Amino acid sequence: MDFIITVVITVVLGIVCSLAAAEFYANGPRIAKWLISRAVLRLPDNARDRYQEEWEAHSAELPGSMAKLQHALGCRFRASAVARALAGPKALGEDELRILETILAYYMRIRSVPLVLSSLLKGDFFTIKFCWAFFDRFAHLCIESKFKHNASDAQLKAMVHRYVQRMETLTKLARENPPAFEAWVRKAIADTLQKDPKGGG
Amino acid sequence: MNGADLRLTQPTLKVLRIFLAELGRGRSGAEISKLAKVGSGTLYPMLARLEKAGWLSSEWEDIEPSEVGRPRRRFYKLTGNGQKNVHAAFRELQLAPGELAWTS
Repeated sequence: MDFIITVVITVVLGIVCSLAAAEFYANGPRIAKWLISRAVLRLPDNARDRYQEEWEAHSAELPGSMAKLQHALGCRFRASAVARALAGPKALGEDELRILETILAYYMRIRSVPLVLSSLLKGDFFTIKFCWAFFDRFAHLCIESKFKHNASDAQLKAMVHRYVQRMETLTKLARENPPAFEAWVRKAIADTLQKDPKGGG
Repeated sequence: MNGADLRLTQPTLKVLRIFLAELGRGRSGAEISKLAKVGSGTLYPMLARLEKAGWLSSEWEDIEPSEVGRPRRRFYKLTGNGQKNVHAAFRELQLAPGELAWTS
C-alpha cells in the first residue's frame, strides 16, 4: 500500500512540477520585461527610457525564455552599478585613504611573515624595521597614485613591478652584503631628511 | 570621469578588443555580449563607464520600432579618443591588442 502511495505522490509531483516549469517558461519573456522595468527604476530619471528600450532590444535578440530571464536578472541586479557609472566616481576622503593605506601596509606585513621570522631567528631587527617602513611608504604611494593622481591600473602595475624589483634587489643585498645594505639605507634616510627635514617625504 | 578612472579588467579588455577588430562599426549590447561572452550584468555597467569616460559613443538604430515590431537597438562605437586610449593601455600592458582578450 505504501508503495502505491509513494508512486502516486511521485507522479502527481512530477506533473505539477512540469506544469509549473512549462508555465514559467511560457511567461519567461513577460517576466523578463517586468524585471527590466524594475531594474530601470534604480537608474537616474534621465537614463530610464534609454536603458528600458536598450535592454528590451537586447532581450528581443535572445533566443528562448531562459536567456531572456538571465539577461533581465543581470540587468536587475547590476542596475545600481550602471547608475554609479553614470554618476561618476565618488572621491574618497583623507580618512578613507589612510584606512586603505593601513590595510595595504598590514597586508604586506602579513605576506612578509616568512621574511620576518627568518630575520627574527637571525636576530636581524634592522631588516624587519626597514621592510615595514618600506611597506608603509609603498602603501602610501600606491593609494595616493590611485586615488589622488588617478593613475591608471597599468601605471599602478608598472609601479608595483618597479617596487617589487627594487625590494628584491635590496633583500638580496641585505642577505649577501649586510654592511653595504645598511650603508645604502643610512644614505637613503639621510637623503630623505635632507629633502624633507620633518622626515615625512 | 576621465580615462584614468577606468579599471581595465579582463572583461573590459575583451570588449575593447571587439571594438578594435572593426573600427568604426557600431555594435549592439547583445552582439558585444555574445562575442565577448560577457553577461549583461557585467557588460552594461562597463559600457556606461566607457561611455562616460569618452572612450565609446552610442547612438540609436535608425528604424521605426512600430514598423519592425521590436525596440531599437543602441549601437556603441569606439571614439577617436577611445582608440588612442585603448592602444596606449595595451602598450602599457605590453600586449598586442588581441593578445590578452582570449586568455581566460
